[in-house]
This record gives sequence, C-alpha cells and structure tokens, in this order.
Amino acid sequence: MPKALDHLIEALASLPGIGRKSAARLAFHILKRPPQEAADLAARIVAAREKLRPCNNCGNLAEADLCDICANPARDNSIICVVEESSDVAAIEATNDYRGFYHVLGGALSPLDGVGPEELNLDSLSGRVSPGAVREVIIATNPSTEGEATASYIITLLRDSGVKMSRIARGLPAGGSLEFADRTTLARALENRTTLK
Amino acid sequence: MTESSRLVTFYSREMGKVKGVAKGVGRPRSRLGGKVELFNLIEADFYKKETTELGILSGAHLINDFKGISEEPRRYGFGSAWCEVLDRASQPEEPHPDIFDLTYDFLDKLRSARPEAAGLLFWSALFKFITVSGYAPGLEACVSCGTEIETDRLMISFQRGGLVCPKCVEPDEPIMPITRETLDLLDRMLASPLAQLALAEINPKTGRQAAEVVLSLGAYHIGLPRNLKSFKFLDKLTDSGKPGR
Repeated sequence: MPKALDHLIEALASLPGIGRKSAARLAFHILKRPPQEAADLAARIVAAREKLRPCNNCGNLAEADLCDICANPARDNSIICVVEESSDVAAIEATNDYRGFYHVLGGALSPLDGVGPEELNLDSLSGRVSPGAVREVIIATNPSTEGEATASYIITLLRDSGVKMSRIARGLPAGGSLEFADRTTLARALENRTTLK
Repeated sequence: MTESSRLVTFYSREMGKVKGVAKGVGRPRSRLGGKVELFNLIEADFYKKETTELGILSGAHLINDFKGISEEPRRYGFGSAWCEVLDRASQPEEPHPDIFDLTYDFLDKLRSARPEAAGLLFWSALFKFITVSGYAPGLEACVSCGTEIETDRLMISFQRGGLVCPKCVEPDEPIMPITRETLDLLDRMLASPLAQLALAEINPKTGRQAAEVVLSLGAYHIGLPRNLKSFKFLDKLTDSGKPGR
C-alpha cells in the first residue's frame, strides 16, 4: 500500500467510532472524488480547529467571545443548564424545548482518568450562579457514575448560593416495560417520580 | 467496535478479572444502559471463547449500584482507587472469591460511610487484600529472631515481611520506623470487620503512617503503583481544604 494512503487511513482510524476498515473505505472515497473536494474538506477541518474556541461565558464552542446562545438576547438568562460537553448542548437544542443558557464543563469527574474538579470548567460556574440573576440551575450531566458524581459535586459547590437546583430525570426508558425492569432501575424511577398536575 | 460500544473490565466471582465488549451500551435504549457502570454489581450474560482475549456482554441485570459512593467526592475517590487496585493487582481470569467478597463488603460499607472514614476503610480493605493474597506481614514479633519487641521504637522491613528488632536489623537495610499506635491500628485494620472500622475514630497522623505501611506493602508484594490516578484526585481534594488521603 502506498505510504500516503496508509497515513491517511491511520489518521482517519484515530477518530472516535472509526475502525481501520471504515477508515479505509473513507480514504478510498476521498481519493475517488475530485481533488478540490479533498482540499475543501481539509480546509474546513483546519478552519473549524482555528476559529472555534470556548465561549467566555459558558464554555460552549464559539466563533466569537460569546457563543450564539449566550449572545442571543431572546434566551432566558435566569436558567442555566449544566452539561458535560458541547455535543450535549447540540442534543438539548435539538429538542426545541429549552430556551435558557448553558454551562459546559468539558467532561465529568473521573478519578480513574485523572479528571478532578480543577480539570473542569467549575470555577466560572460558581461565578455565574448568584441569587437574583439566576433562578434555576438544571444539572444535565450524563446518568453515569461519573455524571452522578459530578452532579453531586456541583450541588455541594452551589448549595450556599440559594439558587434552585434540579437534576434531569432518570429511571425507566421511554417505551420500556415495568415487567422487565430490574429492581434498582425501578427503585430509581420511584425515587425520581414527578407530581402530576 | 462501534462508538456506542464500550470496552469494560469486570471483576467476577467465577472468573476473576475479565475484559469484554458491552455492545451498544451507549445507546439510550440499550438493554445494558445504566447497568454497565463503575461500581455496579450486575448479574451478567458473558460469553468468551477460550482462544480470544475479549468476551461479549450480551445481557445484564443490575443487583446493586452502591449509589452513595458517587454522591461524595472522598467516597468516589476511594471507590475508584479500589477499582484501580483490582485492575492493577489481579491477574486476568484468576478467580479469587475472597477478594470478590472483600470488594462487595468494601463498596457496601463505603456507600454510607462518613467522608472522614472513607480513607480508613480503603486502607483496611487494601491491607486485607494483601493478606488474602498471601502476603500477611508478621506484626507480633521480630520476623528474624522471633522475640517480642518491647520497645516503642518499631521497624518494619518489607523485604523480610514484618517487624524487625534493633538487634536483627542490618546497618543499611531499608526499614520503615513506625510507632506503637500505628502498630495497634494495623492490627485493628486486619482483625476488625469493615463495618466496625467505618465507625472508628483515629488519630490522623497515625492513620497516615498506617496508610504508608499498607501502600509500601502493596507496592512491594503485589506490584501496586504508589501513584494511582485516584490518589491524584484525592490529593486535589486536600488542596481545596478538604481532607484527602
């Protein structure tokens, strides 16, 4: 195999979710297309890497000092939704159900990966949350052990702020069946039940 | 392996440490979702060919999620450190039911332990781990001559596996001096059940020295690294004004 092709496959295979076979398929596809398309793709990757940086306010990806959400006056700045990654912002935005602001931590507490409070965007969160300016903080870290540990840490961190804090629900999945749910999942679902209006 | 799949290390009663792929676990509607998580005790459908290194996890039933561990940073840090111990100090596919039971006991007591007690629980469990692995140190008398040591000036030799008296210690022999209080604490850590240790109040200085003895024993006998990643996390909690290790 030509060295240049091998290097391209190796680079593509280093991307998440791409194995060597998929990388080879992508590489051959790129080589089949006109040279300009490959140049455009390369230029877009470089441009995204150069132009995008963390938003000064929330840590989300931004092209200016503030991201599109923080710069939007129509958004409700009294609610902050705390998420682990910018990709979580995109997922919540896709629901079209949330009009508040975000705070992107850049990960979750994970001693096994060497990620402690200092590695996360936590200091600026404390600075943003003040009574009067913010009425609710929604903690939307993943429902994993790491996400739960991070949520507990944030609750302790912001406890004295007096601001209302909530956690996204966890329990039975949509479309699931009580009959097949294990007892711990059911217990969590009961624990996190909501009042019907 | 797809992006929603995860490579997982399990510690099981029947097989010891095993590695496997939890296919599609990251998908919201995965049958494995929420079950294949750090600390979780699960009943698993696990298939593995003898010729391959990795198995496949096809089903899981959650038995216990030891919920309280992740709710407090020190409990979370020491729980993670235990997972590192299991991973670093166990050989693949060597079943050790005693260590499995010790792990269950440790996680069960840790989940509701006072944050200040999490360290003593961890170091006691690690001391029991080292002992169960066959490296119990001799702490009753000099391991060389057998005489009971009356003095308060005690020395441990990790190479010789326990206390050495001043007469038997070689001039350049690497030893660790310890106090009588530390020796008493080490005895308690080994003899008392974790449930009792979770309630114990100890002198922090004595606790730190006992922890150093256990860590050195672990490093010498079972090849445990002294700089576990979770220790870094716990040390940062110390920096923030909270008690660390």
